Order: sequence, then C-alpha cells, then structure tokens
Amino acid sequence: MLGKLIKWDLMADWKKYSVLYAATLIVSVMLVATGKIKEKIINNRMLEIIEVMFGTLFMTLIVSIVIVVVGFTVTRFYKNVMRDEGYLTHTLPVPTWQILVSKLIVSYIWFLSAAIVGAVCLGIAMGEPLWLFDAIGDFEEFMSEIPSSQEKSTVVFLTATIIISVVLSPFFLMSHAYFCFALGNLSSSHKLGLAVLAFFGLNIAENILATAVMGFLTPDSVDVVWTDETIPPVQVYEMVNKTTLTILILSVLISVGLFIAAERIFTKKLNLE
Amino acid sequence: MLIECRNLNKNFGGKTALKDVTLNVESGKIIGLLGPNGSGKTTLIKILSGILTPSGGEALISGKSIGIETKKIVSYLPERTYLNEWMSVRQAVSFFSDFYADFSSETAYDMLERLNINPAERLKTMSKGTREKVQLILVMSRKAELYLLDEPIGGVDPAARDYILKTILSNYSENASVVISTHLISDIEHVLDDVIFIKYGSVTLHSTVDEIREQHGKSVDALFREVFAC
Repeated sequence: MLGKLIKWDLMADWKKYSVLYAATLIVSVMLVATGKIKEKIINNRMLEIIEVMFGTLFMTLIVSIVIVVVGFTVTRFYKNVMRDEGYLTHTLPVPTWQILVSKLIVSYIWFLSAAIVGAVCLGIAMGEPLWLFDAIGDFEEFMSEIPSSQEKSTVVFLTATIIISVVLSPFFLMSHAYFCFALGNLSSSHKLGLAVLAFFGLNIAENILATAVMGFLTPDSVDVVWTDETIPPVQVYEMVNKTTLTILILSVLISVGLFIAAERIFTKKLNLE
Repeated sequence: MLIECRNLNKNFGGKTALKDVTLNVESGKIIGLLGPNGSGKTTLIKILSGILTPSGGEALISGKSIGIETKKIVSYLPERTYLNEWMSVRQAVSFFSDFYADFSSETAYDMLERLNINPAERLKTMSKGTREKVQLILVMSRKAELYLLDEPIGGVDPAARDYILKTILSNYSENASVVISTHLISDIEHVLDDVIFIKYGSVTLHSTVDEIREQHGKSVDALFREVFAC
C-alpha cells in the first residue's frame, strides 16, 4: 500500500513541478544564450535589458525553487490530509504511518529533484555544467593541503555532519509540519491557525534549546577562540564539531519524536470536523 | 451485529454533538438515519467511517473497533466532494481499484456509461452534481458490508434523486447494510427497512418502518414532522 500511496502522491503534483523545473531550465539557457549573443553584438541596449531581465528571473527562480517546493509539499499535505480530500485519505484501508511516510518520501523526491535541477541550471548559467564535480575536486585539493592528520579528520567529520544535516533537513522540516498540522487537527474551528501558531512556537522553543545547548557546550572554547590568537585550528574545528554533532543528534531526536507524535494524534485523535 | 454503538459521546469544545448513543444495526438492512440539521447524523457517520474519534464510548463494526479492518468493509460517501480534483474519472476509478479489494472497475465503468459520464474527463472541469454522481458510483461499486451515505440526495434535483436511489438499491449486496443520512424523508421512505431518529445528539427512536406504520398509524415522514416540529 505504501508504494501505491507514493505513486498517487507523485501523480498529484508532477505537472506543477515539471512546469517549475522546465521554467528554471529555460530561463538559465536563455540567460546563457543572451550572454553569447551580446558578446557578438556589442553595445546593444535591448540585449543588455533582456540579459538583466533573464538574470533577475533566473536568480529569483534559483532562490525560490526550494521555497516553492516547501510550499507545494506542505499545501499538498494540508489539502490531502486535513481538508476535504482527507475524507478519502483517512478512509483508505491503510495505517496512518504509511500515509505520513509516503508523504515524507514524496517530499524527499521533490526536494532532491529541485536540488538537481537547481545545480544543473546554476551550472548552465555559469557556463560550467560540471561545477559540482569541480567543487568536490577543490575540496580534495583543500584537504591535501592540510598538514596534520588530526586536523584533516576534524574537517572531514565537520563536512560529513553538515552533509548529513542538509540531507536530513527535509525530514526535520516535514516532521515539524506534520506535527503542527496534527495539533491543528485537534482544534474545532481554527485548524490552520493553530498549526501555524504551533510551528512558530515550536521553532522558537527549539532555538532557545539550541542556544542553551551551545552555551552549555562551548563557553570556555569560545573565550579561547576569540582571545588567544595562537590557538591551533584543530581546537576550533573540534569545538564546532562537538556543537554541530550535538545539534544534529538533537534535531534527529526531536524530529523522530514529532513524527511519532503526529502519527499518534492522527491515529487516535483524528478530527475531520 | 454489523454496527454496535455503546454509550457513544462526541463533544466539540463545549458543544455536545452525540450523547450516550447506544444502538445496534443488523446486516442486510437499509436504515434511514433521520434528524434535522445539526442533530448529530453526520457526526455519527463520521465516527463509524473513522474520520472522527469519539470523546467517549465505543463503536464496533462487525465486532471490530474502528480502524483499518473496518475501513476495508465500509464504503463511505461524505456530504462533500472528497475526490482529488486533479484526477480524471478514469484515474479516480484506478485509485479506488488500487486501494479497495472489493472495488469493481467493471461495475463503475458500466454505471458511468449509463450516465454518459466520460471517463477521460477531469473532475475539476465537472459540475458539482456530476462530481457527486461520480463519487456515488465509486462508493457503490464496492462490494462492501456497510455503506455509510451521508446526505446522498441532499444537493441534487428530484430526477437525480431517483437515479441515486436506484443506484443504491441495485448495487448493494443483500448481506450488506446501507445507512442513509438525510432529512428528505419522503424521497427515501419507500426504500427503508429501519429508521433511526436522532435529536440533539441522542437517538430518540430506532424502529422498523412497518412498526412505525402499525404503531403510529402514519408514515415515517409524518411521524418525523410530528417529532421534530419546531
């Protein structure tokens, strides 16, 4: 059943995403094409205006592509689980966890595709389609220049932590959204309002928690970093590593907790009033 | 018993929607769930279909608590359009076929053809009435044990009402039960076996149509008007 849920969820929105991705691709190609033409026809005011126009449009699309994907996935969840379509979703003979997991997997597919399209378009616009591979090459070069093996391992650890955080970020976001919608579901008349309020409240609480954790973990190190110029870089990395890893573990625990809580609320306290 | 409700309660904030509802419904019956607007009909149907959780009490279908197992045997028609609008009718049929083991695509296409509904048409472009017909066709194309139909004739013209009732009668299996919630009693009275009157969230009467005629000497519609007179 999970596969079927994923299939129908993908079918629901693929057209919208295709239009978004196609528009971004077309604009990036047009931007490059305008630049090439401008190289041949010098001092053409019209071409300059068109280039600026495509440049602005391209930047807007690249910056907003993730925001749009977030908007689409959250809206889809709200409509399909909380609104009229929820009457069908919740009367399907499938467990609630499968509904939530299918939506999470589908949102991952859209986030990943948006990242790929964004990277490709950026490559086209820069005239370096393989820029991502070049960046990996640059990183390897940077690593080879680090003399100490201890320092090298801390850099690798930090990079891995950041990559894992980025990969898990859609899960963090969606589990928060699902939990807030689940809370909103409990309200009789202001479901969306309560969900939005819960989202902001949750984020504020988490930021306070993260600040407290960072303060607890790093007070001495921070003093050292800012006052002692002779401090070896490895100590800085270790401090950042410790903090980043703690925040990552906390985020995973909180998100898993919120996901389970959302599943429990939708299973035990469903309220499609 | 197909449906067993024991001291079922539902509150929305401070408002009571269902109050100590206890009732038993047998298989193979067509039951009218009758009451004025806001009496609790929809709330009861929603609890039985699993989209609303009761505040207290217990509801069982075929002896099972409301959950995945009961959703497999209950075919629910809500009072609103719940189909995904981006779908074509064909996709909606395919969707039901994917999820409900008791769904018959053949029956659905047969009914669609009789109503001249194009399976390629998108739900988004259809009128509300046609969408409701598609929805009813999908719901009645299941060989369910229990059909919960919430106001199936509420928003349609009299000609369509006849068609809908005909569809319901000709498509439910004999061992199944159909619960029809409505306040348009005269239109459905002739198809009902049992009636349940519900008022301010409480069941005030549960009887067969024949008993009502014998004991009260009047039609269900006339009794309803008397009981629920403003």
